[in-house]
Amino acid sequence: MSTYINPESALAREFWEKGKLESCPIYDFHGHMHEMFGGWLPAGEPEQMLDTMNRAGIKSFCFSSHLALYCVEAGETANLEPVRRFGNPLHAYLGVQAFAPNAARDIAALEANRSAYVGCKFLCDYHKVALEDESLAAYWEYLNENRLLALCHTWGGSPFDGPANIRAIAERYPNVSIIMGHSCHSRWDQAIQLVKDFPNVYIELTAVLDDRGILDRFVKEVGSDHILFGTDLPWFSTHHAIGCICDAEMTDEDRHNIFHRNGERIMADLNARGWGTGA
Amino acid sequence: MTFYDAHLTYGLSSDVNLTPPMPCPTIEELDAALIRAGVSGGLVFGEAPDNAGVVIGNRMLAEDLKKAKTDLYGLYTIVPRFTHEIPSAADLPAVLKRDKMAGLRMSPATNRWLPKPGIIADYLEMACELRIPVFFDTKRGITLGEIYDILERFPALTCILSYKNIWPADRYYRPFIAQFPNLHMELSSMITDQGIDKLVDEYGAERFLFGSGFPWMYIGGQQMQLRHACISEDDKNLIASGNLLRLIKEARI
Repeated sequence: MSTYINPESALAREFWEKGKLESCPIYDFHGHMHEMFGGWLPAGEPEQMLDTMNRAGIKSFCFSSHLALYCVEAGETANLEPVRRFGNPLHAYLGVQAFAPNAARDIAALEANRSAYVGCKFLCDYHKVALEDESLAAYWEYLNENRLLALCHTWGGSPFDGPANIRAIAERYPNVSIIMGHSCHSRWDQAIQLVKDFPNVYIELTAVLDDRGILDRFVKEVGSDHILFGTDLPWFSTHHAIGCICDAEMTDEDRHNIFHRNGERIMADLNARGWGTGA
Repeated sequence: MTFYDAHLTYGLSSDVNLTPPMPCPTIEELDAALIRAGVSGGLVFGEAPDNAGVVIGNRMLAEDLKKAKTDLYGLYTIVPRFTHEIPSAADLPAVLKRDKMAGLRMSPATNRWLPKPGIIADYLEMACELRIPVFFDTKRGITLGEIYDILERFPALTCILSYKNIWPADRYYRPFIAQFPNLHMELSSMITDQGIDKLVDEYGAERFLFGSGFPWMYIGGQQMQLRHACISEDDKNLIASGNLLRLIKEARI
């Protein structure tokens, strides 16, 4: 009988024993923060989340507060205040409120807080506005000009942020690193094809890892260098995600790519240009 | 840690939408996956009762359990007594004992019957009396509302709640844990950050069971989450295996 999740993975064994590894830090590209209308999050405040991050060895955490995404009154204060207060590993995505966009205000906020931001978060399926809608064009142009990240909630059948919407954006804005949050959930073939077609499109693992076998397929079909780790923290347990990746069929080199190497490459490029360097 | 998994399935559904990306067609493949992950045994049911039929499905599970190398216990699929397809409530315990079945389960939508308390009252009364666990799985055609109605009528029922939804859902399931003292929750879909810690703080570890949801979900995810939860080692061991083994032992089959 095996003692560990996956007897073929030394990394699985190390995570099992220690919980976090200096040799394998975690770069999480899909996070949130604070209260959320649709459910109680037991550890949604930044202090609680930092406890999880410390226990799992998270070195970089890119997030957009629920409040910044849903609540006009709260806005970007909800993102900037925690970054200013705690610094690394927190890095913010500006929350694009596509239901009431204000690109001039938001671009000014990005310009004034380069050290806090890494890009924008789009939640178009919730806001019922298509990613490529003209009302959002100024955001995309700015992201493209500054070679920033766009974390997009993507869901298979959505007319707002499904595979076709990602394709339209990827064709138009080749300098934006487009992170497909949830990887066009359930339209896995199309997510794979998007990564094959566009070097600036990334698979992201939030809400993917509860479907055993999809990650295995991603790695098999597109390799591991365009797959980014993400958890929706404070939604989903970081250690649960680590365990799934340790369980899935791939090599430990692939796991290193997903946990940190791909993230290190992206963050180093942003940092070199003054973005996301800390408070 | 010793792991016993409270939520395992195997077999193929005839509906491709109900087939996981990496299916586990046979009990031999299930055994191999459990041995790889270091899981000693658990509760299992096959797809056959929901796919071929309840009678043949229960029989196939009984035969498959004889082949298992890990310590697997079956969940017997019930339907209402009125069509006389399965043994009566009086006769069923002997069948469960003979076939290494540790509990009852149901799939009302697929097997097409109404999951109302009065419709399966005789089986639930027997389960209450003998402390035989009833496995309620919201992925298998019974809603939380229907489960609540059953438990209001049978509040002492020993049962296992499997709520298939990874969305943070404490508002849904905490009332069940708080109100029904013999309800246990298997954790395959409970992947909320720090969720296990907070549940154990509030209700004690005795109410929770390690469950993977394999082959739909990775076994390693829930194992790693439990391994590094901020609860005592004793509590982890209860959840990993102790509680399920206690339920199996307490059932007077």
